[in-house]
Amino acid sequence: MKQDLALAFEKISRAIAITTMSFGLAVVFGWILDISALKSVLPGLVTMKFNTALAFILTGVSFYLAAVFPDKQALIRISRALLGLVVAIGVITLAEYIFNIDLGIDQFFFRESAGAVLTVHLGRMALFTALNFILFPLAILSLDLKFGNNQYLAQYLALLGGILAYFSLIGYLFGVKIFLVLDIQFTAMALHTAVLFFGLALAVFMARPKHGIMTVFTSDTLPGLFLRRFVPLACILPPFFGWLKLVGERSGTISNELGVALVALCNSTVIVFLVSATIREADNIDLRRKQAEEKLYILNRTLEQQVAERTAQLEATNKELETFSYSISHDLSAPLRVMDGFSQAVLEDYAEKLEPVGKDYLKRIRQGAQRMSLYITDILNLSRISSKDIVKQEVELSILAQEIAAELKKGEKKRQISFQIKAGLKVQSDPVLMRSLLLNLLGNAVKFTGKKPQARIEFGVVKKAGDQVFFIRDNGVGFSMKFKDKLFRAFQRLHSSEQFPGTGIGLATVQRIINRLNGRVWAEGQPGKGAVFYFKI
Amino acid sequence: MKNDVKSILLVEDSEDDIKLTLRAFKKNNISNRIDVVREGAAALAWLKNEKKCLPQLILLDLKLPKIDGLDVLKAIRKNKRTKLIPVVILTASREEKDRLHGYLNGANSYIQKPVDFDEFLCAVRELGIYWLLLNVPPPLK
Repeated sequence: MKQDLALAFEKISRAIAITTMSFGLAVVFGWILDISALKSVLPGLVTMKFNTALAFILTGVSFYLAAVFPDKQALIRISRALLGLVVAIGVITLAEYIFNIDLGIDQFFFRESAGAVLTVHLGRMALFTALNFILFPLAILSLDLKFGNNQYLAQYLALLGGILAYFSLIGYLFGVKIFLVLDIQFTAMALHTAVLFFGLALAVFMARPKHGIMTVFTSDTLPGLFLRRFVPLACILPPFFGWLKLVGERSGTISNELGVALVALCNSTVIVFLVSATIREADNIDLRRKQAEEKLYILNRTLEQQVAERTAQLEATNKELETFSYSISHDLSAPLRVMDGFSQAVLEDYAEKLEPVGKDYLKRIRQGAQRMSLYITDILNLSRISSKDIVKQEVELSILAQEIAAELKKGEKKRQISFQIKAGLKVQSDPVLMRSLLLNLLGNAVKFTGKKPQARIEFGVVKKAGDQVFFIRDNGVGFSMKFKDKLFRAFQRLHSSEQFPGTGIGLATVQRIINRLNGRVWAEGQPGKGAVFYFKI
Repeated sequence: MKNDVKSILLVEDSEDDIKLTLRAFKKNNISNRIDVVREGAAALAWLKNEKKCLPQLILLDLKLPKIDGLDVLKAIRKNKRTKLIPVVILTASREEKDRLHGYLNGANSYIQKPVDFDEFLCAVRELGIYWLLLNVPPPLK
């Protein structure tokens, strides 16, 4: 799309509308003040009738309104009313021709003096002019009326009107009356009338540079180039050469035969020159396109290669990570086992030689080792989530939650925990990840209701913005919303491990599971009033 | 040196782990003879030695120098003489891969060594009761 060309076309079309209106006004003044130069341009030519001038003013104004204010309903209504008036003038005049009657509008405003040039009925516009005043208003009214595959009625109407005007112009150029008056009974179209109609035809096309044939005309493509190059020249050149021949013949410098030969020669030369120039340009465009395509192709290839390289790197990193976590699980826990085992051995075998403080220290060593072992397990589980393959299937969340709740209850026999789990909750997801997710969230709820004699934990679902959002609500210690972002980070603890045991990895695991499933998890809470964890998948 | 007592072969390279495992057996009053070999090759040599009575149970660590536990297991299962001996993998590894390959190659059981020695004691007690008392072993020559 040649954007600037399209914009220029729109501007030109508006200028033509204003010009049409101005010319109409000038001719109206010509009639009022009886200036023949304004009425007929050159002496001896047919006049532009007063009705014609009036219709041009109305057409120009309404065209401008329709083109510039397509959104202003009031102005559009005015524009349509004016166009209706123009059509009425055209139709009435046409009726006069067809039925050979006088309906009184020809000299309604002005009387034309008898013996006017090429005028059969005084003050009555030419037949083609009347026809055009039906065609052009309809074209302007139907500027955006589309039919078929990118076809526009307005463009066909304007084409017809333009051809009628072009006939008259050619007639003036060659000084023949064949196009002006098909029959002696008809009044000729005035020179400036023909020019204005030709302009209006162009204006209708240019007003909508993205409609119909104009899409091609304003496009960057080769057909666009051909159209822009050849259409204007096909309109101008042959008539121009013909006119030159006529001038030459009339002045007696060249014979008729020589004239015909010269016109043929000129036409051929110009066409050949033009075609070769255009083809060369088209070839350049084609070449540039091919180069661009090639560049794009190379770019794509490089991109593919880069993606392949990155993927390989990623796979290698993953592999390394796997080896790393393997060695952590194996090698890091071995020394811990030694620390714990031999501390226990000392406690048992040398119990009588140890003072209570010594025994306490050894117990602390054991606790440290065991805690470290928990960390290792949790970190490994966390890292496994990232490398696990996701298998999607229907997971019965309610049943899963019931099972986990029963397990958790076993570990907390000293206190009362009531689980309220909504029945029938299902989701399409990975069963292993779902189990880990619920275990962590429910386990979290159990842990942080630890100080409550009556713990209540609820698992359910709510609708939020059309999404199924699951939630786990507890009446535990809660948290301050200030820390809601820290909640899901690994090793971030809002409470000391003396208050609530744990590694601080549970919610990080939850976050990572949710990330893998492209879901979302968030929490709401208040200190002392419990917490709600929401998640959606 | 033939022996009628049901013996255990412990394949383990870490001195610490050997000591702890032996202690766990002692604490649980499991008095069966326990032979210890410290690498994979030694384990295979021990089993090939026709003079020695075959153990009732093999406790096998996976991470061993030179020939690792899985290869030892494969060799045990390939050998006509040893292929029926119950093998329990006793390892620190929590890897799914190890579990899978352990069972694929014919391990009878897979036990993760817990860090907490009390838990380990429990595990060894269960293991001893099951494999040495409850389980009826395959007929061995």
